[in-house]
Amino acid sequence: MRLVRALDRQRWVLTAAVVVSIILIAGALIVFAGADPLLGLQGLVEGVSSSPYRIGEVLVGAVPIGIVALTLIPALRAGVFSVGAEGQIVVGAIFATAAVFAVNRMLDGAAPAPLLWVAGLVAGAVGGGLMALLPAFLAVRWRVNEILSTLLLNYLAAGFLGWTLRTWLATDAETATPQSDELPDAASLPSLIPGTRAHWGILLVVVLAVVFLIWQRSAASTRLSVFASRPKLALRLGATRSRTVYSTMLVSGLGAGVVGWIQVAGVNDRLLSSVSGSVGFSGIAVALLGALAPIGIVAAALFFSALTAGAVGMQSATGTVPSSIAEVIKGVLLMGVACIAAYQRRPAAVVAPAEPVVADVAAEPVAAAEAEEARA
Amino acid sequence: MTISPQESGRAVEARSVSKSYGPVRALHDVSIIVRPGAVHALVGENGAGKSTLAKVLAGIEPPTSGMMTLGGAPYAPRDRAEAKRRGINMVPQQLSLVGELSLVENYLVVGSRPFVNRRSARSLLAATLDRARVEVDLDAPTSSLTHSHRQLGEIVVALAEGAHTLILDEPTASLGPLEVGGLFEHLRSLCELGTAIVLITHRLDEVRQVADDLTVLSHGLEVHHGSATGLQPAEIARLMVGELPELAPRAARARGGATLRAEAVVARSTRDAGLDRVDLAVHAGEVVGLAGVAGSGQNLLLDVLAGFVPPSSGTVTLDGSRTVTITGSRASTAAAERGGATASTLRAAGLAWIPEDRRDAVVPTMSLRENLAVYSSARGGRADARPPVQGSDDASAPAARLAAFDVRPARPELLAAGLSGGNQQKLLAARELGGAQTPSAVLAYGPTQGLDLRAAQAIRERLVDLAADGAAVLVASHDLEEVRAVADRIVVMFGGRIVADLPIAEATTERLGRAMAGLPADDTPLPTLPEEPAP
Repeated sequence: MRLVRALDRQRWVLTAAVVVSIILIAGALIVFAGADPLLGLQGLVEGVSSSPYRIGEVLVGAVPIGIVALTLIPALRAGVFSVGAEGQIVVGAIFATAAVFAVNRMLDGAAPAPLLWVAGLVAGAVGGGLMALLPAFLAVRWRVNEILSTLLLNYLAAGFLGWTLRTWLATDAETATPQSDELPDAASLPSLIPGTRAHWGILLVVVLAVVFLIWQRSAASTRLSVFASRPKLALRLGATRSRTVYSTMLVSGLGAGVVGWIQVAGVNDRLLSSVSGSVGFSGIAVALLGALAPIGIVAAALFFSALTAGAVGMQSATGTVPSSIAEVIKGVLLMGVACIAAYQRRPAAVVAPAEPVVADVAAEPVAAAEAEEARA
Repeated sequence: MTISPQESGRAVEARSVSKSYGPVRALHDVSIIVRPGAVHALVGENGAGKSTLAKVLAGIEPPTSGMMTLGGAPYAPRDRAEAKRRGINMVPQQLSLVGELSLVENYLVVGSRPFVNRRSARSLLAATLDRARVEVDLDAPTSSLTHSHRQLGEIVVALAEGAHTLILDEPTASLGPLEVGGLFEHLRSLCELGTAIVLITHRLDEVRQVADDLTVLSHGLEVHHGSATGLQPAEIARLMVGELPELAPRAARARGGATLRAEAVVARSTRDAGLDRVDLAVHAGEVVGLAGVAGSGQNLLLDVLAGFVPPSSGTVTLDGSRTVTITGSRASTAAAERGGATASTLRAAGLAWIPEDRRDAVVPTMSLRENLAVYSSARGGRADARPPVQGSDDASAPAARLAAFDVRPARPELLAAGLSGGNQQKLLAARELGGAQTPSAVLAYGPTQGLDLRAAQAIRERLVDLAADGAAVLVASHDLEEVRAVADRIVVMFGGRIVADLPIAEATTERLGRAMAGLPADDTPLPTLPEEPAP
């Protein structure tokens, strides 16, 4: 199919342009900070790969982003743009922490580890799910824009977390920042690679990626794509608005809630006010960067995490380049992705009505579309 | 065609223009002269090159070869903006007005002048309206205007931008007969002011009604040009296709029970006349035509029958592979959601659906194969997902089905977005009407729109065949001929009510026309006339 190949070719050119501009901007930032770009690059690579611990850090960072991004696939595919993962992580973490403490207290501190894991996992998922169903209900019942409601609910969740850490889950110990007691040792996720913080949550990402790879070929996935572009046809397929909004937002909420539990039980061992750490927003970015494809999302999540870890290495290697350079690069990358996505939607078709463009060339519309493409 | 000196100052002339898309020639050595103060009809089948020629004239596409002049000076617009500056503007089939904005605001949006304030823009448009003797609300959001007024609005905006040559791409495609008459009157008064109008159309009777000059294209070639007066539609049709296909003789069909019934249906919509206690029964084995001026409630009735819009009272029953009944209820939002669920139930009971706007039903980002098989992804549709195996191998079945409906190219792996509009319509028909199982009922709104005569005839025959196989077929259209060509009886809607129900033998143009205009069937006035719809 020539049309597809032409599209692919131009997509590669665009992608290459984005990569080149990122390298140029990053290099310029390093030079401007008064450091040698090559030294900076070396620091970046070392920050990611110089020890098993650092590799583990990359994996640990990629897990929450990956889970959030993977579970956002259905919602984004259906055009339900939920940006509430941040708040859902927070509520999931609160629920999970409370559940772990409650179960542990009920069994007088002798709860077996698997029970605590299950309690944390289920409670986290329930918390995240409930937090997602609220905006879904608002969207279905009163047509409240889900972008707005999920975004604002993030602040509500953050406030609730602050209140929680000062009141019913606050630790008795004197601490500088509000936090909960440390979880019982049995509740922590065991590490997957000895000597690192890489925990069993990594396997969950792999499982989710496989699940979504299979799901992509399912009828449900097709229904969501149809829902996004052809609502009436979707109704004939049984994909009503309420069903679609509830189910897709619930999936993303469950995923984010589980992430909340993983961050508490696998990384911090206690509930901190920084539990979500903007992972929810990174998840959306990674889902888009990975083009809603599971493999692409896993790769993008690793890349995002490596960038953060590597920037720390760069900071210590050069001494002058701040690690926040990673955020700048992520921002530029997102702009690039947005450009590529916008290009793929073919803005030319918006200016000139899409249908008449090929309407009078019955014999070989592909060629016409290609010609259109070449001029665009 | 003689051209007076002052007219020749603005005549647009194209000489031996060709346009190729890759190896495909859409236009081959076509010449046309557009005179000021005249309506120039441009007719031809789908794919004849009408729109391509229009786009070349309007600067949207550069010609591959050939030259154009404007008032004797060379005219080779680089883009649409340059063509506009030189006074040549095209009104596309899909109107470009922004629905949320009024006409004045739309004009401000598209206006090429850097500084125009709202007040002067408004007075300019008002003056243009006055000149063209058109009355359109300048300050209401254009989405609240009727389709014909939006059309006129678009023309007025183009005129206000200084257009002296207007290219109208199928402006009558979605207008009723009365609205078409109104539009033509306005076009005539524009001509009196010296405006040149190129009218692209499928409808041959319109050529006789309004055109001064005529160019007929066929397969990218110009087969006729000259004066339009004195030509009969049948002659033009012969020029276009060689011969007008005859309707297949209708076999007598047994009329069965009422498969699809609407009883005392009341429904509301913001876009169409509300339904006012509509009763309609479509029997197995019959084709019922649904006629009416645009906005008389046909859209809403079909949406209710298809299960998209729940009636606020009354019932809809489909006696298909199972019996589905929708009963009206008051709870709006919840009912709307349940109404959504009923659309899939109705589909599962064998209701085929061809909507007025094919973009509601064809998914451009999916391949032709996926579009054909889209219902296999229906919720809980596992059981009927796989078509009954008849020894046919799955790989060739979609290609054969595409070929049967003459979808070009019939390549199942192609994205639907790559098809022309007419071929997307055929794809839709292939999915809804070409299944292995005969649907129990068919709802089709303008099923042959955008199709050339041959393809349209094939779809009509398919509809009649389905009826012969026991389907209850309801065909709605703005195009009276489309309805008359297939229907056994014709139901006319006006103001959200059914005002006439005529067997085809009694459905003369006069009687239908009166009913569509909301007039009583004969000279005796009816005691209660439905209210005139808002203009």
